[in-house]
Amino acid sequence: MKITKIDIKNFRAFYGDYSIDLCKSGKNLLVYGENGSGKSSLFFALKLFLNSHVNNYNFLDYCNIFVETTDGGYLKLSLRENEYSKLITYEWSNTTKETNDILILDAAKTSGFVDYKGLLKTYFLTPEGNRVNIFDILINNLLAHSINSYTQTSFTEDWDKINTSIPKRNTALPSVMRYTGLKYKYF
Amino acid sequence: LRGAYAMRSSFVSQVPIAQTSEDKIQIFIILVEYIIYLEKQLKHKESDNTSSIRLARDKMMVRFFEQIIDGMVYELYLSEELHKGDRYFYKYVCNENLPKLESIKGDKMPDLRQIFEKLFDINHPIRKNIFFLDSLEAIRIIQGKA
Repeated sequence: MKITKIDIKNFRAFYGDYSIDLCKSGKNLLVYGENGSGKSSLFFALKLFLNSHVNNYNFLDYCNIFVETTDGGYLKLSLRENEYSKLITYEWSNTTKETNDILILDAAKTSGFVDYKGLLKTYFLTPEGNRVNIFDILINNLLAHSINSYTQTSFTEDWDKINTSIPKRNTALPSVMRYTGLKYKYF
Repeated sequence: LRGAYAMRSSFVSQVPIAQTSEDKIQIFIILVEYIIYLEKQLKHKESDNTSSIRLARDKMMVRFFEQIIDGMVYELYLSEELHKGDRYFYKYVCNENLPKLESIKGDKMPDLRQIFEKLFDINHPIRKNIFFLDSLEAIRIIQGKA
């Protein structure tokens, strides 16, 4: 399956309706433009569209801020198996949510959305070690939504489960002592 | 156990047991025997010097065979939903003609690893169907993802 057409109306930076035609064969798309021209909005349009059912996103939360709610808006994705096959169009708007189709859910599981904010973290040093925490970048960004074959859940979910199962030491007491100078006997 | 549900036979006995053919039952038996054998083998390996990568792969093998059984159970109870979404398990497992554990002579681990690697191939329909299984609404509800 390939995306052959993307229709956007009143979504994030898109004011009014726009249509991106990728021809019947679903050509590759390279997007470039000035800051604020809507590149990220198109990126998020696709990302949110695919995950809208599983994560229960509300379209109104992503509407262009200058339009009235009554003006409406939508994201439409048209897909085609090949040039000769039937065109299938899915819509996500305030009133319609066709993103629970198995085709969209399968696509969501294999899509690889990585944005610059995630990649920027490769330059962030950890305060204590003066080095980049590659593990965090992998688990919380690059592989965040990838499925762990062993558990059949995403790596982020797995990591959260591990973290919550680790008994936490009560750190409140030592910090109180550190800042007040009080000794143990007062507690 | 505070907040936990007690399991009572009066409720459990009401869960319908799906009936299936002898051929399909045999596939379940073969896979269960693989898993029991592998679990026993892995218990020994955890204490000796088996490399952690090999051990992790072997544990994945057990988990994957369990996932195939899970898939077949889903297909047994929810065949309509699965087939509507083009998810099949029985026919692909049948096509593999999996050998019975007792028919594997000598050290069974290399043969089981070979079977696993074949089924676990990223393009194998069994692996694909396990991966995409929770795209089906009914499965997500059962797995608590909906």
